[in-house]
Amino acid sequence: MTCHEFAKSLMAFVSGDLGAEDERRLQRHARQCPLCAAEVDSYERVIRLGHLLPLIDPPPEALERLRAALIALESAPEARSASDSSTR
Amino acid sequence: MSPVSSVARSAVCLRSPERNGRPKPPTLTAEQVFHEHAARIYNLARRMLGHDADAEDITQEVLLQVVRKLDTFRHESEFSTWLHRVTVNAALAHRRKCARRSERQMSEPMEHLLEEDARSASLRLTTSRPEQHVLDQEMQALIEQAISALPPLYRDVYVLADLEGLPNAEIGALLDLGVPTVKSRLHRARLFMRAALAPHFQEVRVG
Repeated sequence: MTCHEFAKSLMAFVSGDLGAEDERRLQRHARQCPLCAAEVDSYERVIRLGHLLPLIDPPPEALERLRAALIALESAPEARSASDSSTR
Repeated sequence: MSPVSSVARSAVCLRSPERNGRPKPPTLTAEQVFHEHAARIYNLARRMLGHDADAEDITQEVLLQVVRKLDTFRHESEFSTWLHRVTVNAALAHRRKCARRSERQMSEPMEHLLEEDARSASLRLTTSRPEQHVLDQEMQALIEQAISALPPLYRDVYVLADLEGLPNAEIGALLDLGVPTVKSRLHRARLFMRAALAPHFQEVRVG
């Protein structure tokens, strides 16, 4: 297996989407090729970082405006009722 | 008083009217919608669109839709799927309407990044210390910046897959793409992210 072939299968390898034989071939290559082993490691690391990224706190002033919009909806019940009935 | 507690105080209880003398099961209130979903909607829109003001517009649009249609949902999974769909659709429509950035303009600098010795970038990643379970603010900012710099067609898939945790089939349904296309774009997005982030890992290395 070449490094180019390894790179083409990287995503499937990391996702566990390869068949058993293909997976063994890539594992063998990664054991023998530090560059491709590093490719796997860094790719998995990027995925983990995405999972670790916390939610952004919306700006307080934005929350205030969103609150006001919900309250405005509360004060216009007829609009809500019309919308409700149109969805049924 | 915080915006959240203000809404809690004045929330509308959107219970369905009684039918045949028997009350229907309680549904979400506007208060619950605000507490449980506003930040999530905002984050998805913010990361898809890359702008605070746009994210706020989308969040308001989606929140109002949610509150108006609360009675139509009975299962959390159904509601969650719908919420993703409404938010993604609103963000895509907003992007089309504004047409602020063409994909060509966005992709050129990132393509250049990818071509820049990706191999050595990956090696720098692997030689630095593994990330902590909680990312520091500097790293969070770098990741958010890298997400914003992704070309939109890659960014959408990346945000939905690696940040929202949706399966590829569901992303395909949301974006009207086949699963092979979703996988291809996701892979490309991760390579972009790696190319953008790799140089910074050394800077935040500890020890």
